[in-house]
Amino acid sequence: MLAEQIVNGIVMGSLYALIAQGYTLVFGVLDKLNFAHGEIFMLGGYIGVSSVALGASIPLALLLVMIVCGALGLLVEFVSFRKFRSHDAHITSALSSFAFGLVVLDLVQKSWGTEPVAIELPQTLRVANLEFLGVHFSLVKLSILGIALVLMAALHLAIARTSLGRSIRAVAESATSASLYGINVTRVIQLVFLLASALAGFAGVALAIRTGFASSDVGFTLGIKALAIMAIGGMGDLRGAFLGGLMIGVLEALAFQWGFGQLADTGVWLFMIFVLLVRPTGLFAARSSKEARA
Amino acid sequence: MIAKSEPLLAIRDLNKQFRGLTALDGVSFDIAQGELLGLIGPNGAGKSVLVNVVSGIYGATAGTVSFLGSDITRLPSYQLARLGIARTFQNIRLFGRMTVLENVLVADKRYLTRPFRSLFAKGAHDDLAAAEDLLERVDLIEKRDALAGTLAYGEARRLEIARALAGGPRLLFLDEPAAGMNEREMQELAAVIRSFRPALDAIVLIEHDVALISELSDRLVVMDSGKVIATGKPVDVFADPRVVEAYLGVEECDD
Repeated sequence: MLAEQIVNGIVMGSLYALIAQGYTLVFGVLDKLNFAHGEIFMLGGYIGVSSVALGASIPLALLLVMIVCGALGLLVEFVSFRKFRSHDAHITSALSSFAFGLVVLDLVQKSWGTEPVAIELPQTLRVANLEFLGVHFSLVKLSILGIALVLMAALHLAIARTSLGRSIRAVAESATSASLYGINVTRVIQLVFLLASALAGFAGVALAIRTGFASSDVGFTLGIKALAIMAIGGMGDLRGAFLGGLMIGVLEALAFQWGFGQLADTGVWLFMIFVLLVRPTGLFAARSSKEARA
Repeated sequence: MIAKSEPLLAIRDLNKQFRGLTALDGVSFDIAQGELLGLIGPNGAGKSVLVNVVSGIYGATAGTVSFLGSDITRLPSYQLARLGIARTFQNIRLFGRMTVLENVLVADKRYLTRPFRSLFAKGAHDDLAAAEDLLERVDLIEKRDALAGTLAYGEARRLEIARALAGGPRLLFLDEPAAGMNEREMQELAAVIRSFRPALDAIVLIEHDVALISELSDRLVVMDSGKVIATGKPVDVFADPRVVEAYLGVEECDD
């Protein structure tokens, strides 16, 4: 069914958007890419699967994952970004965070093995679905979509309306000026890593629930794809990451529906290269990032 | 206006080197409570470097800065701001992608320690009123929801001052606030500075315009080549031959 495929695409797209917003938040305040982000997302799936296996309810598992991944985000900030905050240190922090991600990947594969680990969901939850205009929608998928949208709306409100959000935006524009007006820049950057990583962790569990298992290759496949989505949407732009995520999710779903599924991954990367060439600010960004102006 | 015994800010033997170049060379002076101190000197004299060191952008190579008797030389700039030391920049550095009102709110100390205040607090209205009052006083209230990046030059200058005042600072450094202004704008600026003066413990004004700085300052500190070469009342300072040679001579060449 086409409608069902589109809903699937939107569900997947909302997860892409969550991960992409994490990249874009960090990029916004530091002008740097966190290459460990995809593996933190991947780890979220495993923590979720194991929590559920140990008897945790789904909400508790989500909470645990967000705490563990958030804490790991703080660690990434400390070891891979804190010392390399100068604008000349793009490569250093990129290499360091990339290595951090590989360590996480290796530890996950040593602990849980390289084969996907299935999540034990109650049968009732797995088959529950809603019927609307003759189309069946899985309750699990719709719940994932709902929570993802609520999380992103909350993030948007926090950034746009709270003083915390103002501090984040101030650091994004000029860390020096922000600190002269009393903003503790290090604290703000830590907070951004915490938020970004917690959201990535949520996306990791959500993916495990949706597909039925946690897999160690999603950090590379989906986690890095979200990086392309961030670039397509516009680096440093939350709205761009959101719209870019949904767009790619739906396009991918349609590609599978119409039999071009094999081309989906390459398509995303070619699309990113194309967007960077013709519109380096991204498709949806209201303004150009520093990177795009360079 | 009477100076109390303990200085608000005491700068002692301050030294700043940049890769062997001496930008500040044993600078010492006090800023008394209640005074408006004019800091003058030719370009490259070290005035802005001094403000950058005092506000924590640069670390001092040697020497100390004390605020009400406590050593603040090594404090990071956000802590200095929270203590009540504020500044503006010679080249305007507003948060261009935020609204005019947000630029003032972001610097309000009451928000900094309470991150969700604006969303959930009952007192949010009072805080907003304080920020709007500041905008009213610099004549920018009608632009409150405009993006700061879209302001005209004179407006941006005034917003810089309003933002610096937002935290309720005790000591304010104004780094060439009149740069690029015409005579009328300068007079408006002078009026703004006078109107805010009672709310602050002290103001340090860096300015090239001799008429403006003589009119506003209680006392002048003259710098040249990283050193303090004269201090005193404006009339006495401008009669000092060393000042005339170092400062006024150079300014004529600039013009």
